Amino acid sequence: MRLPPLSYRDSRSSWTKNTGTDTMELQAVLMAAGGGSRMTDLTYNTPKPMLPVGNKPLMWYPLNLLERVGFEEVIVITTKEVQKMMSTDSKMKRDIKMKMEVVCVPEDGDMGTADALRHIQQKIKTDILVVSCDLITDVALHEVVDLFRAHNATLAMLMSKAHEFTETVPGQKGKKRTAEQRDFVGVDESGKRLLFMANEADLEDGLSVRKSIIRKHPRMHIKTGLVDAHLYCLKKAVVDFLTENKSISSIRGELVPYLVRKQFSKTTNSQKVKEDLEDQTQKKNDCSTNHELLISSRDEPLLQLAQERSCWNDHRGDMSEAYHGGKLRCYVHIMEQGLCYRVNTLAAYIEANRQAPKLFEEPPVHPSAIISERCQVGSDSIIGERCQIAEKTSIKRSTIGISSNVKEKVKVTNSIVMHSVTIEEGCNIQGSVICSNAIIGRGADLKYCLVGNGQRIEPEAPCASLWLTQIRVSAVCVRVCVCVFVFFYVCVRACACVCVHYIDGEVREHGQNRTTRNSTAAACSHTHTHTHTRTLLTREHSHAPFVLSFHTTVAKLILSNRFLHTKTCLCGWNTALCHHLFWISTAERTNEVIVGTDQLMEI
Amino acid sequence: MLLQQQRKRSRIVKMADSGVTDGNEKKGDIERAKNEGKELTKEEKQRLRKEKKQQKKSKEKKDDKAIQESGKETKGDSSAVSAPQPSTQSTAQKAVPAPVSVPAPEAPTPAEKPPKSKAELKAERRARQEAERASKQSKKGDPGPQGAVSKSKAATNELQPVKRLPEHIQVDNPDVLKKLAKKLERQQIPLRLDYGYKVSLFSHLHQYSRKAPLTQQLSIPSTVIHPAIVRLGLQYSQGIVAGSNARSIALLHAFKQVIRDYTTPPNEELSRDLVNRLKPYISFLNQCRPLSASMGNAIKYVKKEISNIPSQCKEEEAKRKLLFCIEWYIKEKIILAAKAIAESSIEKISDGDVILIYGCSSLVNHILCEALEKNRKFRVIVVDSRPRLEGREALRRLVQRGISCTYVLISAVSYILPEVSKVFLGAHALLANGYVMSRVGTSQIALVAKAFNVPVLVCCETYKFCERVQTDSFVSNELDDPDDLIVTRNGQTHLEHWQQEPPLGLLNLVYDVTPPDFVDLVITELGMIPCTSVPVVLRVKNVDQ
Repeated sequence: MRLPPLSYRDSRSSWTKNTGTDTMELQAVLMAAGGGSRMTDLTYNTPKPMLPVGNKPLMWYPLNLLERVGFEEVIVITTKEVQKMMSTDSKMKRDIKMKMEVVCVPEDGDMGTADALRHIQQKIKTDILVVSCDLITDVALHEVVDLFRAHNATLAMLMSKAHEFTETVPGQKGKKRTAEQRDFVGVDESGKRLLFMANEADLEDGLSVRKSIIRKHPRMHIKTGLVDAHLYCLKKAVVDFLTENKSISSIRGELVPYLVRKQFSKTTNSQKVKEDLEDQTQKKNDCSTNHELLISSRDEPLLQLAQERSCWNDHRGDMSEAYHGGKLRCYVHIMEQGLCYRVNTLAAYIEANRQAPKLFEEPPVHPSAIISERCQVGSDSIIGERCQIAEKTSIKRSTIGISSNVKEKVKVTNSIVMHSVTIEEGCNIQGSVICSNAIIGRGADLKYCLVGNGQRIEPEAPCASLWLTQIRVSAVCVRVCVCVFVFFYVCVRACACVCVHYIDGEVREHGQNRTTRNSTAAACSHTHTHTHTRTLLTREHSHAPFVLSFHTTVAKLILSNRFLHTKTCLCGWNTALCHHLFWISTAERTNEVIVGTDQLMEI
Repeated sequence: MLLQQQRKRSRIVKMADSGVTDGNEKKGDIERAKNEGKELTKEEKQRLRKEKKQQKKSKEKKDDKAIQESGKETKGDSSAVSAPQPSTQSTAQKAVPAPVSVPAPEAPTPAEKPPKSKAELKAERRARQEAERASKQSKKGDPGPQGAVSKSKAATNELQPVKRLPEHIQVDNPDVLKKLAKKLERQQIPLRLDYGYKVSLFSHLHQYSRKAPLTQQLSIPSTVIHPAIVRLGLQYSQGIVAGSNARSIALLHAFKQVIRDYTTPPNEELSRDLVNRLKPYISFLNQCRPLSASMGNAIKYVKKEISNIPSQCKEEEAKRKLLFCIEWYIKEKIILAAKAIAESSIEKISDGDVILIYGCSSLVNHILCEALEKNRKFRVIVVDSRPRLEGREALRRLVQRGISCTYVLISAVSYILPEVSKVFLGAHALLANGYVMSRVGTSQIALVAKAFNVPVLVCCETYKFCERVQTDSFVSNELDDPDDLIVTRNGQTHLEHWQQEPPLGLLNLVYDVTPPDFVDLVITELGMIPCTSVPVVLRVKNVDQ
């Protein structure tokens, strides 16, 4: 998109076609079988590749990236479910003109990315470019590929400066997100050669760098705060290596660190020495080295000759030849600016939705959307196909999905509304994510909430009139399978009453309406609440939905009721909830909780 | 091939520049030439004056020579063998309109001689035939749309040879650029944009930025261009493959891959189709970095071998043949040549010598390593210059072998020269007039060495000999990325925003030419020859092929 448009890109007279050979320079592989384990709330009903970002399925972005730079074919590794959805999705059909070869992998099987590559090994004829389905970027892809080409590298990958997500994330209270474990990435002086890679999690005490690296590259820059974009150029030999070596199951977790490490190992560098060894030892080594030898790109003698004659060297300061005679080389391109998101957390998903309009030049409002004249739609909002937006509505910095219906006097700011959502009159939605097919009842006021797929938020009126004078249904979140709803209803000034209603799987069968009715009916009982709260918190297997934003008094009540147990109780829970409850439990001791909640409410 | 032709044409232009008045038609040419080639150097002007004098003398002779014009030129070459000292130029050759082989501007004229001997006549006849063949071949050389154009304009072409300057030295001419863009579009190769402000004298040359490689405009699984060529182009433009030997080997290697992956489409002939296939590749490489003379020769050879393949030859057979030819070329012209040169130059290295080398020539390094193996006791002084500091690499290679070395920068060359006993230089190309084209700075070293009376030996394989004629470094040269001149020292980067200073221009010149006066000897695989014998070698080579 930011590349100059060129007629050469879609030229038909390619050398491959003329010659009729199968030799291609690169094959693209899209990994779209991931479950989205870090954003289970969103991916419960919609598989991650099909999550709408800017009203396009998430996997459209990497596909578009590939198509834009000139790929004509792509192998998509995905699940049956996604394949079915892909075949029905109009956007995918219309926008992607590439030939897509879809390969399904078993859904529940514990298949890593490297396993998936092994799975399609038959289809791989040449070097590959592996892209993850959750990458949204405007990188000039040639930068990565050029490193791969020019240095005849075994691996070239893309990294980017980590983005700070400033937006408040529904479901994640508190400003600090659960700190991810940092990656340490060592590069040489040019900043291109990847020398070292370690994750904080793997370090026991301190960072140790092997002598063989330091000897060859005495000046190494170790960088942190980088995000791996999960875009890799790999030599065909690596795929062959994977088929030989079955123990590796993930590209990022095992293969890449292995390749980076192997750059400096002796087996790949001093093959000559090996050859001179006695037969017996060689036989022993054969089994072990064969796997490794396969990986090092075989330089032809002529190329080597050219290298010898060339007066270029990649380093200075010691007596060895270019690349230190190593044949396995890993390179990394680090994006200093530009967009690069991996949509694997809720925060990234929200951020990506904000940035998505910048990535494609389409009118933000789809022509088939029906928008009444007397409503405000900000230029930074996207309105999908067949949407209906009624009068006196204001939509700012938001995405409204396909076939959604927004009724009168609704205010939507900073929110993501997915497909076929109905928002009734007078709602106020702020900073929230509303999943597909949800129905938001009249006059609901949602702030920083996550509303699950097909959920129905009851109109505010009955609850409010029955119980409270000032009530906020602050958030309802979701998992239908273990359908637990927690409602906090607060009576101001009245004796505190916290109702936590717990509905088990059986209740779900009674249908949506019944469920909500039940909950409403049951919510008044104080004792009831108490027991259920306890079950709620001790259930280890539960992926509980949670209520996140609530009135100050609620916090007080929670604390006074002391239904928080030990930390161990919480460990089986959704991380976000864990974090949230943990935060309260720690705050309890310092009595800062009220201040904290107040602040949060203001955000 | 095409390139070569263009070069030839440029030569003709130069000849036209030298101001011959040989009929109305040619007068027109010269006028045009004067207008177009504004930058006449001093030398050229001097030559011009001399030739005018000459012309008066040879006026009577002109009539019977008019027929044999084209023949004379090669004849001039042959006389260059016997009399290598440059002298005045033949009147006859200057007016040649057709692109013919080697011109020898310095060749002595036979104008004053009495009627020709039998042998001379014979030589003339042969030369004429050769010229005819050459012109035929040149027509054959550019088939396709270009050929058609040239045929249709055949009549006008003769009137305007001036327009046929090679496009890579006419970057300041918008018409030529437009033509180039058109040609590239036809070949589906993107046009690489010039970068930054150019120093005024060099505005006619391309100047590219390393940061804007051609690949950013190509599709990523490259479809138009063979991946091996794309890789090579990148390696050229980033300087990973540098030095004319390395570049030629890498080029031939890439060609081998192209040939291996090639299958003739139905209804096509291999010899024609493959040559056409290579053309866009070559223009792609030329944009990544202007081709070196050695690469030009290698391309010429490959093309000739391809066109020599008989049409009834089976594809597999033909491909095998071509691969073998390429292998042979590398082995014979580069590897064995280097060996032969090393052998003969070791004779020139005696114990106790102090040898000065400049930059990083793979051939000179090879010679020194061989000499060490022959147990010669010598010391090496490596002279280096910015911005590439290739000397460091040479230093590394020599020290690794155990040769004792001294490293100085070119600014200290006059200080170091008194202790030097011989200067060994590599070459990018040897031009037909005996000038040595080499890394910028070579000429300066040769000059200083001459002043100190130190013998200067140039080592060069014959495949780097080039039919081009050049007397200065301005007309045809290469501009490297000016950003290379920027240095960061102690965290400070001066010149970082040089583009924002309008009066400031950075010049990163790649080559210079050394006049033959400063070169004592050229060591080739054919033996040791004086610079001025280049035309002989070229002619012998032409006959061989």
